[in-house]
This record gives sequence, C-alpha cells and structure tokens, in this order.
Amino acid sequence: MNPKAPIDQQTMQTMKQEKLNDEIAPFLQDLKGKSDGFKVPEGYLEDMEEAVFARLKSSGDLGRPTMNLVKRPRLFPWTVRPRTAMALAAALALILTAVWFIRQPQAVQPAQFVSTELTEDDLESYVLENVQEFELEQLAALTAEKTSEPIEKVAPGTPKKNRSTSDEIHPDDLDKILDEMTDEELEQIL
Amino acid sequence: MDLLRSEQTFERGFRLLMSQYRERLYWHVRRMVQIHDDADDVLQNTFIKVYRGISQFEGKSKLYTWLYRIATNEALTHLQSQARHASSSLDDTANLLSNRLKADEWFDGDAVQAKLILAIAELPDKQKQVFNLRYYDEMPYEEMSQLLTTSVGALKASFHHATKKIEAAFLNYEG
Repeated sequence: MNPKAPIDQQTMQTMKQEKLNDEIAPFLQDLKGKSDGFKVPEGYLEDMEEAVFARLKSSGDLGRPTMNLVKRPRLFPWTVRPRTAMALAAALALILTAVWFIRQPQAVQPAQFVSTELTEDDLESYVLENVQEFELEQLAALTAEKTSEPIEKVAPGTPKKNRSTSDEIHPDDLDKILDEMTDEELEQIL
Repeated sequence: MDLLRSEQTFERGFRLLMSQYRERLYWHVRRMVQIHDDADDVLQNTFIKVYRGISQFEGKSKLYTWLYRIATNEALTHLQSQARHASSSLDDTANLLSNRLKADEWFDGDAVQAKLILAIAELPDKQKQVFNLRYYDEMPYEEMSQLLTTSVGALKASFHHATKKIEAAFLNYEG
C-alpha cells in the first residue's frame, strides 16, 4: 500500500472507530453499535423554524432594528482590528515621547558651548557683581583655582623670581615705592 | 451570513441558519437534557437568543462554535432549574429523570440504554459534554478543543474520567 495515497472515507471512519474503541470499555463499544433509544417526532425539525418565528412574533421581537447587521467600517480594514490599531498608536506615541526625551540634552548643548566662550574677565565681573549670591567656600574655591592655575602653567626648572604674577611686588620695588610716596599717602594706607 | 447583513433578507437568512444547524444542535441539546420536550424548549430558546444577539456576533469564532455555546448555556440553565425543582420536592434528580424517561413517548430504549442515559446525566457538566462529543459525535479532540476552549490533554482526561464513572455506574447496576 502506498503510504502517500489518500485515505478514503470508509477507512478514515474505521480508523476513528478503532481509536475510540481503545478509549472505552467493551460494553460501551457494544452499546455504541445500537440506537441510543431517542426518537424525534416526524417533521419536528422541519417545523422548528415556524415555531421559533411564532414565538418571536408573540414576544414582539420580530423585525426589531437591532437584528439589522451592518458592517462597521474598520480603522485599518486591510490589516488590524480597531483595538489593535489603538494599541499600536499608543505604543507609537510612547516611542516618540521617549525619543523626544532622549534627544532633549543634545538640544541644549549649543547653550553650554556658548557659556564656555565667556572670558575670565566676564566671569570675574559677574562674581563681583553678585558676590552676595556666593558662599564663602565657593569664593575660596574660586580664588584657590585662580591662584593655582599659573603654577600649573610654569615649566619645570623655571627660576622662582620669574614665577611671580604682575600683581606681586618684589621687596626691592617695595622700598622704591615707599620712598616715592608722600607722607599723606603713607598716612592713608596706615 | 451575507443574507443576515441586510434587513430585507434577514428573515430568509435566519431561516437558512436554523435549517442548517437545527439537527446538530438538537442532538447536542437532547443528549444534555435527555427528554424531547425539554430539548424542544431549550432549542427554541437557543434560536430566539441567537436571533436577538446575532448583531453582536463578531465572527471571531466559527458560527457553529457560537451557536453551540449558546445552546450549551441554555441546556445548563435548564438542568439547574430542574435540579432546583428536584431539591424542593421529595424526589432526587436521578429519580426524577428516570421517571420522566419512562414516561417520554420519544424514548424507546431498553433498560441498559436507559441506564447509560442516567449514568451520563450524573456526570459533571463538562465531562458530560466531552463524553457526548467523543462518544456520540466522534469529534476529534483537536476540534473539541476549539469548541470548548480546553486543552486536548484536559479533554482526554475528562473523557477518561467520564468513561470510568459510567463503568462504575454499570457495575453497581449489574451488582
């Protein structure tokens, strides 16, 4: 017998019967061969439609507009049902919102770049104008930062006397300045 | 189904639906409630509910699956109402059914067939459905699984338990 040959109706029925017989007791197999004892009045099933429509008429259900089936237009009739479409739209909105939030810091970057272009003088004048807004520790840190900066820039081996900034006064110059000052000026300082 | 979509052709479509499914649904209901008059009531109620609710049928399942579920619910409601009636009287459900079966002119089975019907009637609702679909309709488990939304394994287990209970009922009967 060719295993790929189609199975005819009778063979299929016999196979189903044999499979079922494996599952049930012999007495149930015997009973299955007989009628179950149920009978139906002649013409009962044919008259069923009239009986149902008579009851529908007496209950006033016949011709109710709710029975009129109209195909409701679907949002995406070629692919998905409305609920699925709404879920997809919600998911898309969430993704777009997430992308917008992720891209937010990149949008403010130019402003940060501008702030780095401020000169030291601008910063200094800002600090002086708003000195009351800063804590003492912050001012101290700014001063420390400012004083430490030149030291970092000095190349190793440079003579100490050349390391002074223009604001510092050499002891020799101090004597000279004091000599040049008038008595009134000296009194003001002291 | 297309005939049911227009008000002009709806009645013709509904009559066609009834003529197509009435026999299959009748035997399903009859094996659930056993007595012809009860099956007649249940089947008429089923078709009236289908008529009222057909506009809500969304076509997510097969039409027969939807009809089968409505018919099953109607049959179970009928059986529950009978059980309530039996509990309020001196008779129990099995005795009530036995007496009604004897009096039913549309049952001409012998004592063994009556015993089988009574044994099936004693089964829990789900096992009763599974047994009827497998034993009488010889429905494959895969198809039954879609109809009853139950796994094939669970259906096989239900059928096994049902046959064991029926065998036990027959042993008691013969003893």
